[in-house]
Amino acid sequence: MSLDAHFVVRRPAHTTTVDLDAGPGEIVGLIGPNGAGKSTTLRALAGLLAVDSGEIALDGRLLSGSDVHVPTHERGVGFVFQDHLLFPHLTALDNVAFGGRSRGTPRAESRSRAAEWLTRLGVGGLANRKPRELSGGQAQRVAIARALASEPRMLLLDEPTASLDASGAMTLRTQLREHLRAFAGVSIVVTHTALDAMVMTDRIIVLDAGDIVQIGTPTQVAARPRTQHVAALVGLNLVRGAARAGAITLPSGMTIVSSNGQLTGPAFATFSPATVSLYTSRPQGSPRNVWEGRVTSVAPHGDAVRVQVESQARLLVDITPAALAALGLRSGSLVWATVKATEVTAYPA
Amino acid sequence: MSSSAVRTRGRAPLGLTLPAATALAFLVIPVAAVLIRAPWGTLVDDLSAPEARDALRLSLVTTVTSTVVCVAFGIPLAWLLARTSFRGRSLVRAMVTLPLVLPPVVGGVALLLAFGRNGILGKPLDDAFGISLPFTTAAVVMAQVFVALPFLVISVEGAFRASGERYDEAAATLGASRWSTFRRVTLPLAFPGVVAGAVLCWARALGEFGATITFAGNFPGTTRTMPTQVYLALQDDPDSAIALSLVLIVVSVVVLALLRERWLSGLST
Amino acid sequence: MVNPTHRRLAAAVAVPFLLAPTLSGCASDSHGRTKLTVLAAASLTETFGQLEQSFEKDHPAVDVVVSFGSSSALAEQVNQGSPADVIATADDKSIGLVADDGNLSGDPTGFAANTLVVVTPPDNPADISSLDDLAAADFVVCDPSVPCGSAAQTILDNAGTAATPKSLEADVKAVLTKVSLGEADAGIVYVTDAEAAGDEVMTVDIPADVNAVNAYFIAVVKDSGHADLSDEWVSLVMSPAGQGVLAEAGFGAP
Repeated sequence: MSLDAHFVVRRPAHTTTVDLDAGPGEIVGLIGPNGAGKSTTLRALAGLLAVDSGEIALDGRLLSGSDVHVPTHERGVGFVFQDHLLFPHLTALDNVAFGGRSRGTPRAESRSRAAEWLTRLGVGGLANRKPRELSGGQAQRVAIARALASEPRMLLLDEPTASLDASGAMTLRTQLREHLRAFAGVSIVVTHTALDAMVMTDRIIVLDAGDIVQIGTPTQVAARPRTQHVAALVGLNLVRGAARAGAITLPSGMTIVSSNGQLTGPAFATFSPATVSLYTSRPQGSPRNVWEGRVTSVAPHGDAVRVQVESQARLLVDITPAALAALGLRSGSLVWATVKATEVTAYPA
Repeated sequence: MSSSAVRTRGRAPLGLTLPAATALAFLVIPVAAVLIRAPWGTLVDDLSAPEARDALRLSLVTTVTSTVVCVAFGIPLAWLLARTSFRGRSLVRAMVTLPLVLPPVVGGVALLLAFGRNGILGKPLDDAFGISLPFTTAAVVMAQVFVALPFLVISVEGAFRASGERYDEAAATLGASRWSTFRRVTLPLAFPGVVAGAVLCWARALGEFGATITFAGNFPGTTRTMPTQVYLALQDDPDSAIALSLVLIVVSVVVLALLRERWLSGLST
Repeated sequence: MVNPTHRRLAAAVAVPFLLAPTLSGCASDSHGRTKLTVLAAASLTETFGQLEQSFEKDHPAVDVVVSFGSSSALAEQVNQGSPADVIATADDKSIGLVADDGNLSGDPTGFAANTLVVVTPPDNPADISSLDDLAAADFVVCDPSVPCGSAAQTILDNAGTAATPKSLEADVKAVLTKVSLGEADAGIVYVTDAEAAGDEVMTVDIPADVNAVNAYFIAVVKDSGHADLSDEWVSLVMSPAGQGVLAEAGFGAP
């Protein structure tokens, strides 16, 4: 139950290059901004798109290759769509029984298996409802049951929690993790939310403009992001520049001093918005990192207030509402931002 | 809903309501004329005359047959147009819509040249099997299929496009072959469009005259359908013609009214 | 058959169209010429076309518009109030309907007669040489509701043949088309139509004792706005020149 995929899909707008191996039971997260190639990757794996070069093999069986294109319905690849795509003319039960019927399982058996899957996903009582009579969370559970009931060898999930509200997403996420853990094949989850990636996946692949830019465990990727997209997902400031003895100089001329005094060469520096302090006049003393800038936006962010400061780099700063009141900040205010060198993590780019 | 639209967005402007009312009047007045002028006193006699009954019966038999033929062959054609891409597809679409704009008499002539006794297909058919199509009931059905098929294909193709290819993809990821997907997903989702298309197709077949009289001719009981009967009765028995027209109008209105908006929506998308 | 409601209705339906002046019988065309509308039976297409040219040559200020159709349809048009100056039909029944409704000024005049012939495709595939051969052939005639159809019916009755046509065509041109395309082995049409079809069909004469004679009648419409011109048209048709054109096309004397 392993996936061996390395392929290129060329589209007029962009080219997607993917190199991806995954072992049995592994859960891989795909993250990246819109247009990064996440959907293209899933569609190519499902056989809904032909690859332009390279190969896709599942359990040693070649699915896509130079002269090979196994059609989608013969791949044994399950797909959970963002908008669930339950067949509107069938009940929840018949939606889930659809896969079994397609493989020639007798009607009664398909339906009893479907009923089991619905129960397992906690929606057993909704078997006779049509999709339009289901809430978003219920429909997505039925869709997951439908994909799993067809006994796929690989499961592809396209932003399974995206259409749900925060609490609905959280419940489904937890439940989905259990089912993916129990699933023997490879699972690939495309997600836009850091939580999905953190909670559900074993490994994260970061895509940007059609290329893989980072592969790592959720912890590694979260601690040392390599794209603005991921940094924003995990809520970190991220800059890139040239390091010399731990001091990183950005193309704009701004310099950041980090805790890693040994680092030299192209490097990323990252620090949390909560570690940045703001002043309305140049701070006394000698903090290593002091930048002058203007406030461009002020907005609530959980219990804190997120202030965006446009300096020689764009900085995100989290302060308390009390501090905001004391400083009297608004859009356009002139501020000085400081961050201690010990709060800045630097690593090679 | 319309009244709330008036409340929130103001009255409909005269510049639109006047032409709209004129257009409506133009369509309604001729129909009203038939109703007003109808020989109500002798209606039953007019319609139960043997010739009228023969025409009614023949119209019923041929239009149902031609609708079944259109459904059986038109749905696959609509699927091909909606779901596959091939060279010359736009040409195929043009050919499918051609009978909509062609004068039906031209269609009848074309059918004669193709399936007539001396037609490019009709002659071999006659020589080999002694089958001659003109002047037969089969020719009536063929003429009706020729003019009515586009209505079915266009409305079903619209319905196939409206339901989208994504459900087909979902079915494929569940292991359904293309044929199975068509049968279990594509067709059921397009069902309202198929019904609308079949009814429009039937209504068009019912009204077919030019291609029929040109290709199939006119003989009581064999090839004389309602519209032909109306046309000929107009020459020497206008009351009977009006009575038969009334039947055609009533049937058409009933059919179109039965097609609720939901069913016709497949056409607009 | 025609009642007062009938007329009012026709007027109501016609209102929107009267806004378009070219559709009115009394209007002048864009060159300022007077328009003379002649309704004529379809079998007169060629002859009246020729007469139109010679009339216009003698009357440069007049534009003759000849509208051809089946006689019964033309009669119905006049009785429904369609603008027309002269009507010429291929039978006495149709023009009689117009006269009965009081829509003619003066009595109809007979101006020509037409008899019928059997036509076959040029190669005569069914070897038709007489009316009797029709029984074994696929032949077509006009529908009895139009004059050429009732005439054909009369002939078949007179001949005492058991022949049944394959189809009752809406007009004589449709009969000719079916025959010239070879879809029918034979058809019964007017002598004049067979004449006009030339090489496209072969002709088999029908004996005078069983043949039917269609008398053609012409009259001026009562509501004509150009009574004098209308009379002149009728005179032209009745003149030696007019009768010559008709004779050349195969028509008999009235």
